[in-house]
Amino acid sequence: MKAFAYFSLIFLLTLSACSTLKDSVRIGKSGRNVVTSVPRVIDTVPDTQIFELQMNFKDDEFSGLLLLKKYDNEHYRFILTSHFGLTVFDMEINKRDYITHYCIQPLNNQRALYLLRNDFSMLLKPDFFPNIRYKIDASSRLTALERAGSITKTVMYFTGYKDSWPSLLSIEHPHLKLYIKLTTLPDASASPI
Amino acid sequence: MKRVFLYFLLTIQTLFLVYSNGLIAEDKMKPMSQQEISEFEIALKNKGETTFSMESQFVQEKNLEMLNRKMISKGIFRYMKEDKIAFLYETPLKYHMIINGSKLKIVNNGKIQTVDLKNNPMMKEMKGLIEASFLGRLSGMDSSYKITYFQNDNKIFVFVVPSSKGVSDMIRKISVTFDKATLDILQLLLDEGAKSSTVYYFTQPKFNTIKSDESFRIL
Repeated sequence: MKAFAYFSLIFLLTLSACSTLKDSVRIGKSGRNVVTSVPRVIDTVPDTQIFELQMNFKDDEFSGLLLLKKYDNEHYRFILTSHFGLTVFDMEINKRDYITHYCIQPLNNQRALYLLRNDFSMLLKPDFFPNIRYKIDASSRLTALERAGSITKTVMYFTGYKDSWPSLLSIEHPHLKLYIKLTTLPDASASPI
Repeated sequence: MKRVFLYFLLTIQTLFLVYSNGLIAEDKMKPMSQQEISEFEIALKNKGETTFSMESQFVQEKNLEMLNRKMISKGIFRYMKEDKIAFLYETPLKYHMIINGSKLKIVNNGKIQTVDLKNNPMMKEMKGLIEASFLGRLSGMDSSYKITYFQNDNKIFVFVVPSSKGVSDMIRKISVTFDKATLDILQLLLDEGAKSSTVYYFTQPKFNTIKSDESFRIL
């Protein structure tokens, strides 16, 4: 039994070390398959943006509206609400820290919130972590990224580009069976109270 | 002299307070008496007996005070006696939430998801409250709620405070506003605390116009 667990762990680590992105590049100063910077995937100009969020975790599915508000100095706030209006979580992130202002009980788990913080940080700044592999298309647009990791391996895809920004952002944690899709909602707006 | 001046000042202040409170009281709501509550309950029950269905436009306003922002969704609300409720969102995206008996169906981007309401306690509470409001059974709701009644010249306000921790963790208070003359539900407010609330405004109500339960079908 112990041997099986050991084998499974080795298998998982080996699997997670393999990149699934073909022709990917990394950030560096020089060399083959190296770029000096990567393009952003979320427009940082608007004050607030709204996305439809669809989350699949194992057999469960949830969808709602994600509001992103930008402050100065790479400081952001994410609020997820159900379609019915109830707040699911309210998280503030900056370059180093994150604060959870509110989170419903079933999701109020430090590891889950840390994973979300990492995902959002990579969406806002694709080079937030070192050692990420990127796929950039002929139009110099970021179409995918992959961050290796054992259980928290992350793959993101950016598709449906309109006016320089992707309309669909997919976040995949294949080992956790957690999949998140963000779709831009150009008709949605958050107006001042 | 000093005492006379103080007395004069106190009198002026008292008069001002009485006058200003009177002005505020005219605009503000006041608690209903037990007799007024009973009369309201009976009238609501009578209306419920003749209401087999209701359809209205609704505007959902999610207020995020901490961001000084509000998010607006719009759609059609449908109710059919006794346990069928539908919120059919049209903007900013199409999303249907249909409750029929103990089942909840969600239609999103053509995908259908059906769950048992016992797995979604929040929607179960909402269903109970909406039904009680339509059927005139507010006072018959179980003891896990504290219900208070207020009124002003045109409206009746029913405040429902859940006492069960599972619900109160998510919703601090639910307020239902009725038109005093017609007893139509004008708005429903969910106060989540944490500087966040959601208001549903119901307009253009049409009664007993839904002839079939087709739109509430779960399977």
